[in-house]
Amino acid sequence: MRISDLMDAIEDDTVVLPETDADASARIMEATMKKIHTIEGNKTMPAKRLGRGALAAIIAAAILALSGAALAAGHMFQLVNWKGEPVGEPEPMATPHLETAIAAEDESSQAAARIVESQKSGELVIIRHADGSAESAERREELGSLEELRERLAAEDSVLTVPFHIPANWSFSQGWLTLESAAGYGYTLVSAEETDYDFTAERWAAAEGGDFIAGYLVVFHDADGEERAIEARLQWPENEHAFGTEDGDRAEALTVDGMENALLIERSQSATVYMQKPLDEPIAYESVFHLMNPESVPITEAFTTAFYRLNGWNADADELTVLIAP
Amino acid sequence: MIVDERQALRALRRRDEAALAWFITRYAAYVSAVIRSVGGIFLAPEDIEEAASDVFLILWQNAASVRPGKEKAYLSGVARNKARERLRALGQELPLEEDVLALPDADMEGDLNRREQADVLRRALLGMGWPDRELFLRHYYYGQPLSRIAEAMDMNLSTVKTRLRRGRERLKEELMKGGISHEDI
Repeated sequence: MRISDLMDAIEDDTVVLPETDADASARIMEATMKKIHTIEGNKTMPAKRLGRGALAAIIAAAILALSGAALAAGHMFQLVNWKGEPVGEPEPMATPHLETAIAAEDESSQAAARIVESQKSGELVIIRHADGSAESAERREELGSLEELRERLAAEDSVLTVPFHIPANWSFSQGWLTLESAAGYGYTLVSAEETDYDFTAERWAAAEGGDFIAGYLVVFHDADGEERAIEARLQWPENEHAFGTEDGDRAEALTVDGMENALLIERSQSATVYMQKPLDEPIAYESVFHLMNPESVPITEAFTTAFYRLNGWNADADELTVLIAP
Repeated sequence: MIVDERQALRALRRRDEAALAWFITRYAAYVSAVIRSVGGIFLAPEDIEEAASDVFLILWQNAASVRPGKEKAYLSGVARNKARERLRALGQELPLEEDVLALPDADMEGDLNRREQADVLRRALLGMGWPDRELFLRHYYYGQPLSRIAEAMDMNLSTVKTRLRRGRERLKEELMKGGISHEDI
């Protein structure tokens, strides 16, 4: 028995180690985000359903939206709040490695991704690894059109709205709803499939009647292939945001009917409008944490805010703000 | 605004990318330090950054299984194992002092599952007390050479060796206890 192998079973944070790589955090941030969006993009936005441009737009928007993320060498980054005001001091960014290689997923990860992709509508899939860790994918239902989204939101009396409109010459590319279970509506294990890899794939059914819409994502394109992505999600109270900007970015608070906060950030190759409004009443839902952690107890948590993000790649401020105009 | 690890972890479970950015901003240097310690001279700075981004990818994917309050320890564990994976891929191994622990019962290792091993190890480490626990972790968990441990902990090399041997004996005792109790069950 090797002691160093035995140490694999524990985690330690008591020993103080000299930290000398503070400048590397921007590169690590960028590499991590690329991997995440590559993996999740492959899971949720297969190329046959969505043009590469859309994926690039969403990836770019996500990277740029990150607090502290920046892409240009020698630039400064600055966090701004909902009013577009600086938060903290501007900080120089280290030279990034834009060519950072995206690590290939190993076979096990690919197999897990395929299983997640095969989930039935509204089903909860939990991948439980041999080492005791587990991961889950958010529950989704595919959308076929913007009208379907509007109908679903209306039919379920959802607190989420569609606070934008799409010009007539734009077409729906892809979309989905994300679902949560209301408080008191648990999950039932449907199957636990052993795989040839180091994980078991569990499929859980949500209790009937408990589903509610916790978010959506819709993507549109025009005849030139330009794309707009709109995301909505319910959030927790602490999900307030500070937004990362770079030299040359423009941040401007907007006034939007029905929203408590709205912020436009115009960047060199994209523009994003963020909007947020508190809910009249918190919405309690069942956390799935205890399903992944047998030692934990069921938890009921609550959403308190609706958050919206409208992103346009190769779009300027006017092209986006016209979509949220009354 | 996210202000602490618990908030960040809850947001991360909601797939909030700002929460991941929060973790990376605060822990990239720490995670890199763990990887550098375990990887020693065999990992180039680029390898360390690549492994660090793998660590945060795993944090993103497994946020639901991270225990609140143990976020840093989780990152440490994943970083250590990622560094070891990279070392193995390179065909390298850090020379550790008497890393192989000979047990009287050859089947004992197979009898203990991962959780039981962790319990036994925690008991052994708790029983060591400071500074034995820290130097044991520095050597067998973080892969630090004895000379560097002696320098970091302001001890002479022979003291480090003596205390490390004591730690190995303590671990052996706990393993044997763990094995016996396991058989009794």
